[in-house]
Amino acid sequence: MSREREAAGSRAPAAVAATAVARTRRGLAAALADRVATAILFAATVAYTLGYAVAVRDLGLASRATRPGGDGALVSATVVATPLTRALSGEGVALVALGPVEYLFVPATLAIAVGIGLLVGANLALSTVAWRRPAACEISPASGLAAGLPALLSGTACCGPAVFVVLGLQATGAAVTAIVWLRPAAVLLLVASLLWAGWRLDVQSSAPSGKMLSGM
Amino acid sequence: MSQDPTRRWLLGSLGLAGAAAVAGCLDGVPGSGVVPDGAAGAAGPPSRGGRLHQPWSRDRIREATVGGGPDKDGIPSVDDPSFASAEEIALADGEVVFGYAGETDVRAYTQRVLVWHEIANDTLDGTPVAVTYCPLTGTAMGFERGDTTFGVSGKLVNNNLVMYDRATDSRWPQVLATAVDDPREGDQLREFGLTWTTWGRWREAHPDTEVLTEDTGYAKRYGSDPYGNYNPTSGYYGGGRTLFPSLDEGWSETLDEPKRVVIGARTADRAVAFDKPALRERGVLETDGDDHLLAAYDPDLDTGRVYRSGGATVEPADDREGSLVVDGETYRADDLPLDRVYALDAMWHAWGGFYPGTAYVS
Repeated sequence: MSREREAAGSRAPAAVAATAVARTRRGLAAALADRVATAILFAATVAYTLGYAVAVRDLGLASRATRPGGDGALVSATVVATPLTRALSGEGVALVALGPVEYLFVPATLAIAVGIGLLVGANLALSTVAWRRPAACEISPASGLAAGLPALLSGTACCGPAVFVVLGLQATGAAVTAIVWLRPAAVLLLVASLLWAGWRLDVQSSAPSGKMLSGM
Repeated sequence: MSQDPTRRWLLGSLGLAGAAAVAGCLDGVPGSGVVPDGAAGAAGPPSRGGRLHQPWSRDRIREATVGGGPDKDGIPSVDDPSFASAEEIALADGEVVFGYAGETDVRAYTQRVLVWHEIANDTLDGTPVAVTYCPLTGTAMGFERGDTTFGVSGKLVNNNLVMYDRATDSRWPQVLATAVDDPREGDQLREFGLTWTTWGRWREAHPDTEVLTEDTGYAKRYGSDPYGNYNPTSGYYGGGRTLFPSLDEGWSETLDEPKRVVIGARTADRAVAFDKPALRERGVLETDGDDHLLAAYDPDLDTGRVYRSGGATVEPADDREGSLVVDGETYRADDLPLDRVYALDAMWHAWGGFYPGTAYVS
């Protein structure tokens, strides 16, 4: 019996976690070696990042009416005078317009979106690996996708939670507090989902025969 | 055209008008010049002289203050606004602007820019001022700021913007114009009027106007209003519930249309709300009681002007131009020979929440 299996068998939480991390790492390595899984990881990350940008209103249709001479250009980019200061304070540093679409580049928001997008993509990549292996256990991609949703609702619209504005609901102090925790909650859910998928998909042992070690 | 009365008001606030102070009166001298020292010896914004009606205890206001989501200065004020001439700007005629027409400065502050900043620290006719806008209550108000600037605290009360001054860090709910915590607790700000209108109307009335541009020092998607649209009216602005609970919900028993626009005016001891759609239709609305207030509709700018009637008889003229007849003489709505009272556009829920005893005239 391997040390990993001994550790898992001991049921100590730290040992179980270490085992899950090790299995997830192997699963992700296998995903990166699989072209389809890698493509899904990349596509999911990009898609989530774009979706997040739309949800927090950093990406949308352009309108530049009160910028003198600002209309008419197919491509334009406006960078603030002090980009580092703005970036460190979580503000936008550039507005890029491409035809009818404009994107507000906010480094902090982009970093969060890419980070969560990578977690969503990693969940889907593990599901893909499981799907592509013969006799592999099934890992539904639903949990990874669902776990990424809360963060999409975390945007604030100037002085209130955007989701309440959109839905026409009345917010309370508790609701505003809950909104603040949506992004950390999404990250925790995605990490948990990833570890669960990695636990179920023990690639190292299943690779030669397709048999998995996690008792399925 | 005649000078916009807001000019007289600001001059009054500078002590140039020389008229006696009357709380809330357009032509009065707003402040006595008494400005207590705040933190680090900083003075903060100047105080008004006469008192404004304030029905709530400051304890209750503090208790009802909630966080809106963004932190202090998370909604950044514009501290170095830039302006362009009307010819340089391709702004749709229906875009909402908050206009100021003064002795030397004529400016339009665009709602599409201020919805992202809520405060523009500017100088008008040589006086340091803050032009403020709260999207959740639909209120645009001007304040003198002295040698400091105002910022957005990130807090709301009765859905209304709570400002702070950067000299003393006191909190000032916009509509109340009153500090609700130390060190300036109880002090009230000197206000000046802004005209809530549309760009097309303002430009027609003031071709020489300047307009606030998107060159604010910040990168924002100014064409994207997170709450909805005023051209045409939709989203949060068009109806539905308030985003946060009101200080008092009694307004819904009078009129259960929280986003309906009223022209609000308050004096030292009372508040009045004139229903704007009704005013638009009838030309003149007037309160009952001894100290009559009346609202006159200005069709050029689609706004209401509020006056103390002083016993005068005011009726719409039969000239289809929106003129009014005061004791037999014809005047424009913005130039009646009566005492002007400060007034502002506001959503009904905001006015009714802050002033539960308000009169509602329709």
